[in-house]
Amino acid sequence: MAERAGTAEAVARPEAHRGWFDGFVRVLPYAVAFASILLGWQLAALLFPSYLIPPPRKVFLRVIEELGRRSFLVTVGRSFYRLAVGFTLASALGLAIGLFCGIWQFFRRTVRALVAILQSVPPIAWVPLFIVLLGFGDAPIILVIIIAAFFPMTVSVMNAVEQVEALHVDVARVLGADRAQLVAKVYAPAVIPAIVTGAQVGFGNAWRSLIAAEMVGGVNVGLGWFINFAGEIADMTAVLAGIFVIGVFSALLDGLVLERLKRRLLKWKYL
Amino acid sequence: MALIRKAVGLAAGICLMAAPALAAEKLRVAYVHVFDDAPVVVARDKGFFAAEGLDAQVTMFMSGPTLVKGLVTDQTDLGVLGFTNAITWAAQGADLKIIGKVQEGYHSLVARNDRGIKSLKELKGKSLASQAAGSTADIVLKGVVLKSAGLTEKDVNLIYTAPSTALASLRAGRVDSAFLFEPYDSIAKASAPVTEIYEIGKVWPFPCMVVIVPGKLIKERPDAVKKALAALKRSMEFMKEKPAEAAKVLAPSFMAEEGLAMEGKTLPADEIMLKSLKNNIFDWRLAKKDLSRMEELTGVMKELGILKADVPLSSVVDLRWQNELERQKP
Amino acid sequence: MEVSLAAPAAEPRPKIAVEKLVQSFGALTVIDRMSLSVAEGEFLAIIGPSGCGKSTLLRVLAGLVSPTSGRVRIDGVDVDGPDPRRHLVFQEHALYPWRTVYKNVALGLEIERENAQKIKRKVTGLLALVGLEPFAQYYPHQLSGGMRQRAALARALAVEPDVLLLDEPFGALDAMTRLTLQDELLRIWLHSGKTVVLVTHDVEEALFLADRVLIMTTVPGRIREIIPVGEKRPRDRGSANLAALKRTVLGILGLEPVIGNVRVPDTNFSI
Repeated sequence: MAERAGTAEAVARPEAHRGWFDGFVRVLPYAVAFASILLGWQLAALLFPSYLIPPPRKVFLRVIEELGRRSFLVTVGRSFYRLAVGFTLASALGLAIGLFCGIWQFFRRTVRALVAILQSVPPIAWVPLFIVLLGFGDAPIILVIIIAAFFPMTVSVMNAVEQVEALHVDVARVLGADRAQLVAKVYAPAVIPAIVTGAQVGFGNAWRSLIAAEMVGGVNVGLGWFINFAGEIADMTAVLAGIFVIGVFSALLDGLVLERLKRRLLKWKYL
Repeated sequence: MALIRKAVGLAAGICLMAAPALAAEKLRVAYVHVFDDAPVVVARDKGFFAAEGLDAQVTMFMSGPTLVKGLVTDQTDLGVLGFTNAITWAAQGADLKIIGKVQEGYHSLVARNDRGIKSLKELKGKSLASQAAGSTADIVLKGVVLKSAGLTEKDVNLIYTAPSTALASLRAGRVDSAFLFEPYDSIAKASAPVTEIYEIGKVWPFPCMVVIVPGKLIKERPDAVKKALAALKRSMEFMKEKPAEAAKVLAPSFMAEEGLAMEGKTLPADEIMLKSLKNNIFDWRLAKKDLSRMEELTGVMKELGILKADVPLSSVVDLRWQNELERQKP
Repeated sequence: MEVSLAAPAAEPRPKIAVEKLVQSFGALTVIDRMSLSVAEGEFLAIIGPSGCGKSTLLRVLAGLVSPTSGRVRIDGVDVDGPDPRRHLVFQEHALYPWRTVYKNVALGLEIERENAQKIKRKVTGLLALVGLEPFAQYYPHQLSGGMRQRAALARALAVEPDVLLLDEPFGALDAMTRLTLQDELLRIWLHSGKTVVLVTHDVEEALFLADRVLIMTTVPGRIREIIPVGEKRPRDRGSANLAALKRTVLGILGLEPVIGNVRVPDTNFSI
């Protein structure tokens, strides 16, 4: 690192060899939480007949078995496909509308009113309507996911745009920026932290709504459908295996993908 | 001393008054909201349960797989539902017994006239709205109906949905065909451009709705079991002898929601009910042919991968009360 | 380097001409019928108590706010919006926290859509000028206040404005840094011949830097007095002349009795 002249604020950085310890500390709470869930589960399995609550070991073996089965991978893959499409569209839409709202007053008021009314409807309540409008298949599910992820994102971005420093905007104006440049160079980068938080909340919503919508109907593949069907044919082991897969994948996606993305986009904050 | 005598006398009097009320046994009865289970509704509404001395608390479920969970978790005592549900749970270790029959399977496969489906083979690549996934009807559809045309569930775009949604989708043309039971079948034929291309009852009759109870009930309250079966038997006989009256009783339960669904076309509910009554075979006896069909279907379930372990039918079927009822007949 | 000063009057056309400017926000009149002209290449300092409208005046000159009535002309043309040829440097650094120092300085050039080569050339040159070259890849929050203001100056200079407006640019800095940056500003002005209008609350700073010092009254803002500073540059901050002028200015501001005279508020005072 270059020598700092003058009175630069140098923040002490932890040394590299402490990395493994930090990693351990970060993982520990998750490990403890996981262990306590396992314990509770084992206790329940002891109390209830195994056709109602199969023990953890049986379920784990089933998970491994299913992961080796093509039909299961296809079904999980379909769920992911729906999530990916829906969440991406929701993010793009939320960002665009949030930015527009921040910049144009009238638009903002209208959208705020719409959001206030619509966002309290649980996303899966829309499924029957969407099935009627769009037919069976992926489309209603994806639309539900979009709704679930869109609102937190939009609200987050709208609020952030309102809080963009007038000073930053003035600087750009003084430098001769036109409206498009203001959006691209001031508003958009300034709201990235809000986008990320909005996205994290939205992702949780999207994932939950995905599984729920797949259970409600209109599809014949998907993780939610898999769990539902297993429940219908008395296969509680598969039900719990499906739930386990949901939990693991959700944690992985959030911890690995989203968290990494957040750090990359906000690296200026974490430096 | 006089006071004590008076008190005892009073107590005895109260007990005597309460006796008739105590005599009516409480029983939680559950059925699936499908016309196949009509005998339960008739038994309830015509007082046949009460006549046998049963205080029946009747609950309705939207599907067999949901109902059987109530049986397994001791939330209901007696259920009328598709027999495969007993098999799947028995395979997992639950103690369930099939003790009598209610209805023989009637499911018709109707297809829209404009989709070029004249026989089962042409279902390949088309969409088919089916019943609750994993239900008896669903198993029969996959393992018998489709199989007979050389198709598997992968060849057809199966859509699992409630029958009323299936009906609406069929009429709106969103789905090419549907596997329906009464009264939806009759309603569809009356209100949508569809043709029936297959009906299982004609080709491959099988016992569909049966009476299932937890083994515990048989051990602890055999009397209640006997009375319930007797009530259902009476109910089915009534439906055969007086169909018009039965139709009236059934209409509010099964037609209330559909009556409004027709825009412009008024379909008299009674008519639909009568048609449905005629199409269905309600019988309380599980005969040898029924048992062999059940064996076949158990094999089908194994083929479809729904059943993971072997379930000998004899461990699930208990025909003691049916035999008793038969002996009782004059 | 000695520079002789011309008296500001009798220029062919003033760089900045303000005629009877009135600036009101709702019922509050912040500037009341102010008229003023600034010659090309002049260094004008504006002093006044807080809330007297000096910042507003700069914002009007920069084109960020339209005058309620009156005319404001730069180069003979009415000011009707922000323009990079007249740049406003704010008190807070107003650097974008998500951009490195380099990218912050490059902002104006990006807005003008210059090509990457030219940007690189200019930015590295300016960073060297203000002594920030080793910190080009740092983020603003890693720098001290003084360094941030230097970066803001570099950003201002990048777009080569004719008119440099500075709104208490050194107000948030410690005394020593302030002196250093005053010298730098002076150096930059002497080299470039730009027209500079500096708003400050530091009387010594105004007297050290400016050709003329304009004293404003408080709400509504009006010109109280304009004091020419005839001293040749480089000036001695501790000189008796400047000290006397300082007492005069403070007296006009009502902050110190003028030697030998009784302070009479609300009148036009002269020595």
